[in-house]
Amino acid sequence: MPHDKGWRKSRAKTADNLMTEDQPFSFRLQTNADLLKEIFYYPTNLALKVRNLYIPLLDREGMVFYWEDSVDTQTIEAHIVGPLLQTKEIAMDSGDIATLLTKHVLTAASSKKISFIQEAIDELINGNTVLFTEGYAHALSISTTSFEGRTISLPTVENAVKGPKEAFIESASVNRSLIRKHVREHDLICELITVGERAPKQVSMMYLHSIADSELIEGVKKRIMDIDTDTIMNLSMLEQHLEERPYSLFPSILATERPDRAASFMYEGHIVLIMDNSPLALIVPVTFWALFQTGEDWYLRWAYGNFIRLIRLISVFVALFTPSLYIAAVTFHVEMIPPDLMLAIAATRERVPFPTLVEVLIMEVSFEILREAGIRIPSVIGPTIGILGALILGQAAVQANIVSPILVVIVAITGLSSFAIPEISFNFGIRILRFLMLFVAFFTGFFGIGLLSTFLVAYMVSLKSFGVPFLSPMAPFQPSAKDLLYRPILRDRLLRPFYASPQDQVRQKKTERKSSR
Amino acid sequence: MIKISDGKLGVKEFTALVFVTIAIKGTDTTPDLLIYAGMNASWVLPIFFTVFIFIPLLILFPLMKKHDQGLLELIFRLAGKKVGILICFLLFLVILSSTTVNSRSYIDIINTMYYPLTPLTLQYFLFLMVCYFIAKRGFESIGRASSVMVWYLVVSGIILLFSVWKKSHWLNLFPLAGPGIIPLLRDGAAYSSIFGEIVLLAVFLPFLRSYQDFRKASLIGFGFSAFWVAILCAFYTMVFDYPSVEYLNYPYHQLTRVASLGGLITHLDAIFLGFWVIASVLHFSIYLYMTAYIFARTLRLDAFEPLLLPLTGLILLIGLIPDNIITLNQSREFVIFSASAIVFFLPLFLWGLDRWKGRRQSEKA
Repeated sequence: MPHDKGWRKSRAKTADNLMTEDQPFSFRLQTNADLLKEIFYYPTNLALKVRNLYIPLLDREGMVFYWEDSVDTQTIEAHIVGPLLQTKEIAMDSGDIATLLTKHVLTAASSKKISFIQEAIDELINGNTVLFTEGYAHALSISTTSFEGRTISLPTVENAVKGPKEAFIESASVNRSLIRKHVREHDLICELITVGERAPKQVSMMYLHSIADSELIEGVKKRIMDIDTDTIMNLSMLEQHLEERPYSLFPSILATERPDRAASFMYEGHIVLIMDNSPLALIVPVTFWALFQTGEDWYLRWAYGNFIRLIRLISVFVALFTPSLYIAAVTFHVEMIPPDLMLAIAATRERVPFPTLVEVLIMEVSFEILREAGIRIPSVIGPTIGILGALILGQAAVQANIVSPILVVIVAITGLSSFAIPEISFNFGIRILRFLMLFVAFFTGFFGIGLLSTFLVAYMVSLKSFGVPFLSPMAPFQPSAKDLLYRPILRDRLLRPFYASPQDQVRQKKTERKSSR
Repeated sequence: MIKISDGKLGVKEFTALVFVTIAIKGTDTTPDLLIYAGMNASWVLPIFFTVFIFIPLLILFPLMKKHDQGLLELIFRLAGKKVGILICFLLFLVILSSTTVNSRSYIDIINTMYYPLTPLTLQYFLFLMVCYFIAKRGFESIGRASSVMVWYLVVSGIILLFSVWKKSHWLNLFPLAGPGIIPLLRDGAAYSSIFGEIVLLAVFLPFLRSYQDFRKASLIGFGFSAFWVAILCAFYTMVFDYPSVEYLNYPYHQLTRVASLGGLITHLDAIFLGFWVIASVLHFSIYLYMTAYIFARTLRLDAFEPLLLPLTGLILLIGLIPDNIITLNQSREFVIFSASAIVFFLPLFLWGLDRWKGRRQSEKA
């Protein structure tokens, strides 16, 4: 990592310390120490900790630097300071000080030799310990990282009744380990890519080498490297930097908090991105079907899995179309409602002074407000939302003749259905489109609904996520595991090969073998 | 397994596209012409069209295979630059006029049958705007959108047939030959350009993965389309009976009006309208794209997608000229007859040129 281009680039902009530019360490211990202290604003900022020590083995003074709260002090004590002070003699071995110490003295898990100030800064920030010795123009960085974080817990968004119940947390290494637990393959590759110029962060890109398309891997890597920004806080922001169409209503990247789901995507040739501080994994590229499916579809037996899929499919349509179908029917196509129902609707609408559109908008907007308030409300006063929502909006609005009762039913079923859409971005997309559909239906009825739906489909098929069409393998049609709206029984999926590039015959065989999970 | 797209159409997508282009003709005012010509045997005519159209196709396809080029490139190659431009321009006029006349006729249907109070101009504008947006997304998207939507269209069509099943009487189809075999054959030849798009669709060969895919998709799509138009015509006669069916302006929409599922759901026409609008939008996006493509190739322009917007505007403006459906239908018939001749003789002409050139070359050798 130290001498690649990105690293140099990042250094150029680091803070205002131009003196650190490419500056190597000095032979004098005190010079190095003073420089580091200046960079870390010591003693204003007390985060940098220094321990002076005498290393009997080398008969020299030494200094151990670390950054408070990002290291495990126990490790420093037991595996760095302790051995350094206690080791007096070793078997004859000549060589570099760094090699000598690493081979014979230090008992820490890993360490590396560094030569530049900037490297020392990066190592310290990332929770490693840096050891300087008098008369030696290099230093030793020993890994002692230990940031505080929560322990692995249950998924909060993607719940599953049957299936693993671990979710990603805010630590990248824990998340990688969760994935490795699911994918025990020798060709599971984890590449580290550095992004951000002011405060570089590492993105772990994981994929299965024998399955993922090499062109795709290069494309994703290039896209991440091309990001030109000062810093990226976490995956949710990385997602927005990676998108091809930032204004699109449909997401082109999937975020999941389930390691099992991330692992199963890897087996289909997707790439998983992981970063610190994000209890998520990003999956690229992604197709429409992934937004609509859940991990549980495959954990349940064939009939049950298909049943819940069917319910979700209905939910998508209900959430998108119900209010607009209602408006279109009562505004333009009254004759299609059965007479009894029509009379009932007319009777309740009689006392409502507004046009249908206004009525629907009042209810839909109130519902969205309710929903947003439900998320923002402090959990202590949470129950009030229920009272407000149910009583005031439902009951009182009808009694006050602001809306008709049938509308409450329609808004309720629409709202419920939108909760059944599993992916949060897709969920938002559908909810916003619903309003668009509403206006179109009010002005042009079924004609407009037909126009807008066709446009939506044409738009969806023209979308691409990292070169992969959004609706593939349905349009364009490709042979696949047939895991779209319907899922086959598991035994069938094992036998059916996944689709691989025809020019790459070898992969096809491998894919076939690996597809068994 | 995830795979990066190559941007070309496969058999499925092109079949769907052909189906959307041609099968929809059973639902507009085309059956009026068929019923006028074929009387109660109007459903036989689509089958005759298929036979007649096969003659130019049988000539054209081997030519395309031989030179491995789309229709327009083939014209330029065989007829030379000047004559090529002339022929392509003629094709452009054919496609432009039929897009204009047909799109206006579709809007007339919607306006008359469902939205008598909405201004026609607004509807026409909205309709063409959406067509433009879809065409703008590229041929790949049109093909894929067709392949997604075609299933919904087919299912809605089958539901329609089921929902009028009880009201149809198959005895209405007799006598099978209608006005007699000879008039049927004559009219079958005269009106065969109703299906002439299949020849024009050959301009899209460069957008497909291979010639084999193109041929397969064209033939399957064409076969299904002819079958569907024939079925629809048969149902019009079966439900409404012969002399009265002739007085219906828009038989498909009348058919959706009588459709009912059980006793409760008696008015399904608005639902079928929705699906029909979907099909028409796709249909005219293809036409729009084809118009722009042919125009660009005539002038040897590489980028033709910027042409879509001005052409859409042009179509809208010309389409608004006819005052009513009567004047429109006259121009529609004129377009169909003139297009018939061009579509029929173009492949023959190209074949002749190819033979002549081939002979000249072999003489030289």
